[in-house]
Amino acid sequence: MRNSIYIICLLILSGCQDVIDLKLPENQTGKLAIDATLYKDSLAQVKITKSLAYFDQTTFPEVIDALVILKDGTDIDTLQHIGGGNYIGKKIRGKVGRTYTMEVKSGNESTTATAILPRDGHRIDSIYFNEIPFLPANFTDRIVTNMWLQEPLGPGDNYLFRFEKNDTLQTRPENIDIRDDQFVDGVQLKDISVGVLLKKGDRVRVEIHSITRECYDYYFQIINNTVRQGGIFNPPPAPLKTNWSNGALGYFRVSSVVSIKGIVP
Amino acid sequence: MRSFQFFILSLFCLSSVAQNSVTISGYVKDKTTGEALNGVFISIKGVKEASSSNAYGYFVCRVIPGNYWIQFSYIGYETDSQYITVSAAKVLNIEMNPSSKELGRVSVSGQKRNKNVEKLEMSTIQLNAATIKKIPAVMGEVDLVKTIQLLPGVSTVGEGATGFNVRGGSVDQNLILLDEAPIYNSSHALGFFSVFNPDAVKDVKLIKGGIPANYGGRLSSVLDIQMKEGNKKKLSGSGGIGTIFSRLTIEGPIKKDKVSAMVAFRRSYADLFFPLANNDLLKESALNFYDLNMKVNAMIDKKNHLYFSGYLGKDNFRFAELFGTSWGNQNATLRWNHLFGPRLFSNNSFIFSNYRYELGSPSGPFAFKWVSNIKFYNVKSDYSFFLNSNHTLLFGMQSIFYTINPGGTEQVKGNSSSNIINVKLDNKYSIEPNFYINDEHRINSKLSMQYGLRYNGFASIGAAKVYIYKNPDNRLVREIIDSNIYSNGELMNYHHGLEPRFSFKFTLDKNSSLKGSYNRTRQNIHLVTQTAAASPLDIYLPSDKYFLPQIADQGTLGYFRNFKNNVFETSFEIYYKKFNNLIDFRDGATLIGNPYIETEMLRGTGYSYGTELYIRKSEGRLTGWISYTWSRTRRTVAGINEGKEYAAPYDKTHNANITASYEINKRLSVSGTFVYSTGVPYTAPAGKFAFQGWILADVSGRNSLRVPDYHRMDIGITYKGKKKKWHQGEWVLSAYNVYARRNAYSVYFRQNPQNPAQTEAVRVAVFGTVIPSLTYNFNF
Repeated sequence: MRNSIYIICLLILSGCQDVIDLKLPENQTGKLAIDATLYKDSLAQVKITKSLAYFDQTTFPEVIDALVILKDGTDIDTLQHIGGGNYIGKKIRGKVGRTYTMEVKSGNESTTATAILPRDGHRIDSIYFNEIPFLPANFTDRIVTNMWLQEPLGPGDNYLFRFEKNDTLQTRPENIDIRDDQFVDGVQLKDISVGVLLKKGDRVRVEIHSITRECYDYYFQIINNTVRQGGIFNPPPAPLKTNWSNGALGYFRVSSVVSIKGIVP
Repeated sequence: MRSFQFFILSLFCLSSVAQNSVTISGYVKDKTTGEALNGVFISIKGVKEASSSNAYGYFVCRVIPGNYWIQFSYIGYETDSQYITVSAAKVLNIEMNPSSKELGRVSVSGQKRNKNVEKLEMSTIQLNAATIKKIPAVMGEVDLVKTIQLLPGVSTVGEGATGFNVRGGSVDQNLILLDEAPIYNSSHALGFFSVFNPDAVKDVKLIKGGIPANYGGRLSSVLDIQMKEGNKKKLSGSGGIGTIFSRLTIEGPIKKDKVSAMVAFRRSYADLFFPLANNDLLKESALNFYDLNMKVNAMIDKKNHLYFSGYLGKDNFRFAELFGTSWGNQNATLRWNHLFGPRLFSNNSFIFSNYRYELGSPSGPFAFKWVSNIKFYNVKSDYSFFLNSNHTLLFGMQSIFYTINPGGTEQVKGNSSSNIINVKLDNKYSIEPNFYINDEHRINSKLSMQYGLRYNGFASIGAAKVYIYKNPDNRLVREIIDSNIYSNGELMNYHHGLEPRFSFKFTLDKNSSLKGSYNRTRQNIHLVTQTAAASPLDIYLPSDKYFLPQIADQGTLGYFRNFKNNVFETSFEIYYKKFNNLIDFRDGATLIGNPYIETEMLRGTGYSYGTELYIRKSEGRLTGWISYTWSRTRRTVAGINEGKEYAAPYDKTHNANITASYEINKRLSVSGTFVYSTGVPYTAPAGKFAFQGWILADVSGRNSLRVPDYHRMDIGITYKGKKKKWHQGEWVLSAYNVYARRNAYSVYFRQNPQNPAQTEAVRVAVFGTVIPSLTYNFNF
C-alpha cells in the first residue's frame, strides 16, 4: 500500500537534481550516537560514536570510555568495550516479553533507553528465486529472492527485514525494509519479494526481526528522511524519535530474529 | 423553518412602507451569445448609489420617477448608455456588445468605470476567460490556477504543486466552486494543469478577504468559477490542438433566446502513442486525463430560469499490470432562479459532488484495490432582497450531507493468490447546516457598510465506532480505554458557531476610497496530508470528536485609487489573519488506512500578515497587471519543531508578478510574465551520525532555511488567421521559463550514491530548462 504511493512519487520529478554548496549552522554537533541491539537468546551489542557537522567528511569519533549498563529488572550487566567504540554484554540474553533498560555514561553525559522484546511467532517457510522478465537487457543482476512466510494471528506485529548478499549486509537507505501486519494479519504470505537483485551463484541470507511499533516508526522516519526526499510529494525531514533520553541519537532495538539462507541456482 | 418564513414575510412588510421611489430591474446579457454577464457596473447620472449585476446577470436599482441617463459598463464590452423615462417599476433588459476589435478605441470616452473604487467589495479580483487566455502558459495550456497564482496575496509551494495558497492559508482552505459545486482536487497530472477547461469558463472571482456571509465552509478564500452558459443566438464553437491537450467546445441554442446548451471536452493524448512503443510494458500502460463540462439553461418565463451544469474529470495512470491509479471530480448542479418580484431574487440549488480516487495492483502477490471518496450533497436556497436604495439583503440557508469513505483494501476479482486481506475503514457521515444574512447598507453618499452573520453547524452521525483515550489531549493507541458504538443515523457529536462578517467603504474623492473588513470563517472538512504539495491520494476527514473545526479571523484595510480616468486601477491592502485549531500530523504518521488517525493528529495555531499592491490596466493596446505581496506566515503546533513557531511551507516574504499583453496589430499580439519570489523554506540537518551502517541527518527544527530566490519569465506570441467564412484560427507560440533558470523546488541531504561516506546537499528543480510549445486554436 505504502509502496504503491512511493512508486508514484518516484515516477515524477526524478530528474533535474544537482549537488550544491551550502553553509549550515554548526552548533549541535558532538552528541552521543548509540546504536544498540539485543536479540532473543543473544548478548547485547552496542556501538557508540559522536555526531558531526553535516558537511564534515571526517570519520565519526568513537566513544571508547563509556560505561554501558543493561538491566532486565533482576540482573545487571555491565558491557565490555572490545575496541572501536564497540561494546558487548556478558550475561543478559534477550527474552520475549521482557523490558530492558540500558544506561550509557560518557564524560558528564548520560542517557537511558527502555525497550520491550516483542512477541515472536513469525516464521519463514521457504525461499526461492526467480528472474524478473521485464528488466532491460543490460542488467547483469536479474534475479530476485522470494519467500513464503507465516504471519502470526493478532494485529499489531511489526517487522524489520535485513538482507545479506554474499555475506555483506545491504545498508543503502533504499534497502530499509519494514513491514506491518495491518493488511496481512495472520496470513500465510506467498511470494514475498525481498532484498536486492542477484545473479547465479550469489549467496543470500534474510533476517526478519520482530520490532515494536516505536521502532517501526523510527525506521519509517529514516525512510522519510532519506529515500523520500527531493520529490514534490515528500514530507519535510523530521527529527528521529529515539528511545534514548537527554538528546542522544540512535536507537536501542530489541528483537527476536528468524533467518534463512539460500544460493541462487 | 416557520420562523424563516415569518422572516421573509416581515421583509415584504418592511418594503411595503410607502416610498415614492420605483425600481428599475432586469437582466444584462452579451449581445452576441445571450449569456448573462456577472458584475456589470450600473450607474445612474444624478443618483449617487451604483449597483451591479449578480451571477445570473440580474440587477435592481431604485430611483424617484423621472428621466435618467443609465449606464452599464463591463470590462471587455462597450459601455451602454440609455436615456430612460421612469414613471413606475421598470424592467430593462440590456444586451451589451463585446468591445470592438479596433485598436485603441475607447468605447465611450470620458465615461467613468471606477467600479474598483466605488464597489464595497475588497480583496476580490474578477477575471474573465479572455484575460486568462492572454497569459503565456506552461506547455501552451492557458490555465486558470496558474493565472490566480499571479495575483497579490496568492502563493504556491512550487511548480507542479496542486492548488494555491491565499494569505497564509493551506491549499484545502480555498473554497473552489465550479457552478456552485465544490472541487476537492483542482489539478491534473499531479499539479501541472488545473481541471478548468478555459474554453468552458465564463468568469472567475477570487475573494481573499471581506468574504460575504453567503460563502462559507473554508477558511481562506473563495474561488467562484462560472461555466459558460451556451450561446443563445447561434451555434458556435471553439477548440484547440496543443502539446498536451486537444479541446473542443460546442454551444448553441436549442430554442433561440430561451434554451441553450454547452458541451466542452478536452483530453491529454501523450499515451495515445503508447501502443506504438516497442516496449511491452509501455504498450499496456496508460497516462491520461480528461475533462467534460456541460451546461444547459432554460428560460422558462420572465420569472423562472433553470440551469443544469455538470463536470466530469479524471486522471488515469497505469503502469502495465504492476500498478494503477486514477482520480477525479464529478459534479452536478441544478439551479432554479425565481423572481418573486423585481426586488426579491431567489436561487435554489441542488448540488452533488464526488471526489474519488482508486489505486491498486491488478496482479501479483500484493494484488489489491483501494477506493476512497468524498461525496457531497447540498440543498440550498439563496435570496437577495432589494429593500430600498440603502439596503440590499442577502439571506439563505443550506444543508450539506457528506459521506466520506476513507478507503480500504479490496480483493481483486479473479485473483485469489493475493496476500492482501480486506480491511475497510468505516464511512464517516456528517450533516452541515448553515444559515446566513447579510445587509449591504449605504449609509450616505460616502459611507457604505456590509454586515453579515453566518451560522455554521456540523453534526457527525453514525454508524461508527469512536475510541476513548485515557488522555483525550494526547491520544495513544496503547491507551485506548473504551470505545463507543453508535448506530445508524445516531448523533455522535455537534460543533457549531457563528461567523461574523463585516466590511465598509469610505469614499475619499472621485478617484479613491478606503475600505476595511473583518471576517471569521469556519472549516469542517480537513485535508489529511503531510507533504508540502498535496497529492491526489490525500484524503479529507470531517470534524468529529477529535478533529475540531478550524477557525480563522481576518482583518483587512485597503486604499483603492484609479488613475488616468480609470485606465489604471490600483489597490493597496494590508491584512492580518489568525488561525485556530489548525490540523497537522505527527512526523512519520501513517495517514492512509489508519483506524486510529486521531492518534496521529496534532492541533496548532497560526498567523499571517502582509501587504499587497495591485496595479491593473484593462484598456487599450497594452493590458496587464503588476502585483507585489510582502507577507509572513507562521505556525505553532505542539509536537512539531519542539512546539516552537515555524514558517509555513508556502511562506514567501516577497512575491512580485508582472504580466502584460500588447496588441501590435489586429493579427499579432505578444504577452509576457515575470515572476519573482523569495525561496520557500526547507528543513536542514543540525548534524549527522552513524547508525546501522547509514549516515543519518540529525534533524532538528522545521523550515529554518530557504531555497534560493525564485524567478522566471514566460513569453507568448499570438497570430490570428484571417477570418474565413466558417471559422477563424489562431496560432499561439509560447515559451515557459525563457532564460532556463533552475529554480529550486527544494533542497535535500543525502549520502553520495557512489561514495556513501560522503554527505552532500542536492537542489531539486522541476523545470530546469525552457519549455517551448505551439498551440492552434480555432472558433466558429
